[in-house]
Amino acid sequence: MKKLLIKHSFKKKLFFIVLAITLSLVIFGGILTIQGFQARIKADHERDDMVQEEIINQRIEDILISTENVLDAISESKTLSGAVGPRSKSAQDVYAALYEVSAPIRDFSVVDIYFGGVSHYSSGRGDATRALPMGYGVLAKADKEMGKTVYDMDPNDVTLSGATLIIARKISDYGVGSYAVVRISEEALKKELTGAFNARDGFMLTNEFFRPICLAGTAEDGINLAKLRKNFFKRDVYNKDIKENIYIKNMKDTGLISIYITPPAFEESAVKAGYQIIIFQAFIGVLLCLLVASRMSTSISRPISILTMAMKQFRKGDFDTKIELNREDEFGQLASGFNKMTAQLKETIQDRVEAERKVNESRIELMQAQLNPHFLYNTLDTIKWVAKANQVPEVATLSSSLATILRTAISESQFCMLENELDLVKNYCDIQKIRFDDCFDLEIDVEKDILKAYVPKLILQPLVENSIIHGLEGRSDGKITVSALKIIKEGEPDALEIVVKDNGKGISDEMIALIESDDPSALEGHLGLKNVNTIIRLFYGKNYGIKACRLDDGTKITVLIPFSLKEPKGVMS
Amino acid sequence: MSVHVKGITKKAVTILLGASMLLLCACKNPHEEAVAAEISQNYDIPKEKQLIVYTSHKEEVYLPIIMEFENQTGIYVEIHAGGTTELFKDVREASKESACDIMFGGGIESFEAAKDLFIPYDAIDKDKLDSRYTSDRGFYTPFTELPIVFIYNNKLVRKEDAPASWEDLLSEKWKGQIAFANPHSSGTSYTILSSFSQIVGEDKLDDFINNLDNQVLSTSGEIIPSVSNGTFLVGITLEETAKKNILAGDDITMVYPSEGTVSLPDGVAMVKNAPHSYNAGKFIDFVTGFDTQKYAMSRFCRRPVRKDIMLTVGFDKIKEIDFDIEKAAKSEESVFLLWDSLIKEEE
Repeated sequence: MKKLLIKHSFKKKLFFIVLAITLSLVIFGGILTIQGFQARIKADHERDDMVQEEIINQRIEDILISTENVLDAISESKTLSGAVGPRSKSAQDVYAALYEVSAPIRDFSVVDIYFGGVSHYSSGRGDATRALPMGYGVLAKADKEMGKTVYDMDPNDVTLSGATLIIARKISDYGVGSYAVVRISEEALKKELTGAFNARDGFMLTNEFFRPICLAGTAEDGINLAKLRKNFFKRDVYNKDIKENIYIKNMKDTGLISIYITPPAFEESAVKAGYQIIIFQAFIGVLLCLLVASRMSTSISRPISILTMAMKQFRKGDFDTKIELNREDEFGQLASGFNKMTAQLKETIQDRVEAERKVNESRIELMQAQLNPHFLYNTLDTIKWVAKANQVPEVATLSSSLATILRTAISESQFCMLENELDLVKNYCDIQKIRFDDCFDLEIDVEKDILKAYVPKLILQPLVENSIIHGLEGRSDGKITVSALKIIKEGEPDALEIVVKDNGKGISDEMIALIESDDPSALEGHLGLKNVNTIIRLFYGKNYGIKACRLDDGTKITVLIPFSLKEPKGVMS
Repeated sequence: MSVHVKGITKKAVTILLGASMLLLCACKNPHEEAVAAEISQNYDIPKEKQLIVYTSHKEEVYLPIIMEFENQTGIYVEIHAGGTTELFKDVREASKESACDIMFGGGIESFEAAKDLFIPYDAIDKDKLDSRYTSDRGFYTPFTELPIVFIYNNKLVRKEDAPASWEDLLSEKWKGQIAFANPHSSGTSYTILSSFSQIVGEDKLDDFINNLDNQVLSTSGEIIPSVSNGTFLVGITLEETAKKNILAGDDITMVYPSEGTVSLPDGVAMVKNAPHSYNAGKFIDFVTGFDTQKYAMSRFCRRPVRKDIMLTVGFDKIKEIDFDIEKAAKSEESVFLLWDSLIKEEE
């Protein structure tokens, strides 16, 4: 359960990290793409629009300039400016002049000579009511300044969706005044502008109050003009609620405004579709993230669970546990590391078991030697008292010493104080002296403060025995010296060095080599030495043990163990 | 562990949100906005250059006048056009929101009835206007006078036989031959009924209505055409309408009733809570000004309310009856009752 939970949260973590990265890439990247794209297309579109707007404005300007030129010509023509007046020419002359000067603009306009509010000469065909009010509208404007061109709409022909454009100029002060009036109807203007703008675009020509003169193309319905005017009126941003692009231009000082309208570069639906794609991608992204997260978490958690299982197995005692992952990544390394570790641990444990077995063997040998200690003990005591009663002091000493040795040997403790060990050596020597007819002396030379140091029991007796039996063989003035020294060295624990020296025939090189060979089994036949060495190494490790060397007269055997005033823990306890 | 995950989630959400905010901010192109602001600034119409006009006039009437007003004053006019009755309702709503300056058009009886909607304003040339129709307290100002006239079809009616007086309309020979619009839909029709009862006598009104013989037109716009095409022989309409159509070539003749006639003007008034009241005053001055009055006469055949304008040929001196607007308003209910009882609505 716990494992599942952990795996789950790991997956979650992975999922969110991957998700965050993917979504940020998809969403931000997508939005940036769309917007960049949009901006670019918009800019291109705008440039095209500007060109188109330029074309149509140029067309309008051409019309206005040519009209202006005609008005100039009328003003300059005495025949026309004086058409009504004291020196007026015949109607035929006036008409001839009028047709001549108005030729360049007659395609799209009607040119009239007004006397007051009434048209006297007209280049147009019919003569519909073309009276203009005096003191009102265009004539009032023209009246203000002689020779100035004014622009207005024909009050006789004005609607909310268009009007006839009037371009007029006062040409004579005579009487109520003469005026040259050029009319360009909405239809004529539209015809003139045909082809100047794209079919999808719109064009509006208005006066300065945004009253329409001509609405063409998509602007024909007047909706955008109404919106535009409303925005200016409400003092909002001019293109509020208008999707189309609007280009506004004042036509010089005519008071006319040209407005060009183009559809938005981007249909809203296209942008919407773009964003929908992003949303779709994000959705796919979420699914992919889920998949990746679950795959990755499995690929990581599976080896971990295998490892956990293997460790459990190992803990239960199966030292042969091995992991096989077949992977070459970090987990593969981990697995092979684990395998190496178990192998090494197995080896170490086997070594330890072997060492233990050996100690046990020694102990078994020892125990086999321990027959019935109490019975022996009591017997020795009896022998001692019988000997005393029968006046045989050697037997008493023998049995008494033997009893002492026996007590130490069979005691439970594995260690004893150095003084006890020395006592045991003395007792042993007492016995051996009787046996070998007092042919050697024992000398003990140990500082008092060292006497209390703890040593493994029964390590000196075998050495002394070795000296007596092998070193002093056949001598009558043998001498055995046992001395001990505390060795203090910086950086190392204190050590105790016990030296057993004899003045016998000296140890053989062969023996020295055997002792130093580190191979306890090599000392076969010298059970004493072998045991001592084994015991010391088992207790203290391979840095300690016995060493032998041959002197000029005799043998010196050195025992090196750690110095301790406290009883160390035994291996068996 | 789960706390950690939550932390990561939080971080991720925060980063996502933050980044998207940044992007959204970046959406609005600052350059574009600046350009838009500049254009808006260039064509900005300041408050003191604005005026909102509600008008029940026809486009051909109000548009040249309003455009000339714009040209002369530089004030931008927002126009709301519609029928008189509904427009008065709209003005009432707009007045509450301070979204209307001027009510332009509609008979002064309508203005009289809705006096509470307006604030008094005296036109700069008030002393030059026909004093009979100026509101004493200046709640409204008359624009043009519109006398009630008779018309007849020249082809079907001889000049000698044509009705010359209100009394003549009761004649049996016109039974079912008088073009008349339903007063329920036409304010002018109601004014004609009131005029009849004030001139001929209330007791004769039922005779007149009976003489219509259930032949009722639904709108006043149908009167002239139906007389022109001979559906009806005679009709009762306004001088302005008759003249305009005669000028346009309709073969009809206009007759001023011999007893005299009622010449109710249409009006213009400043609306309460007008947001641009200064400009509204300018507008009233403008429409009652000499040039506009003259223009309205020459172009729309409307009789000017100014006394200092010489009437052009065709505008006969008329004998005007003092029309009691208050009385007409009071008797409205009874007149309609009478109308409904005598006229059977055609289904």
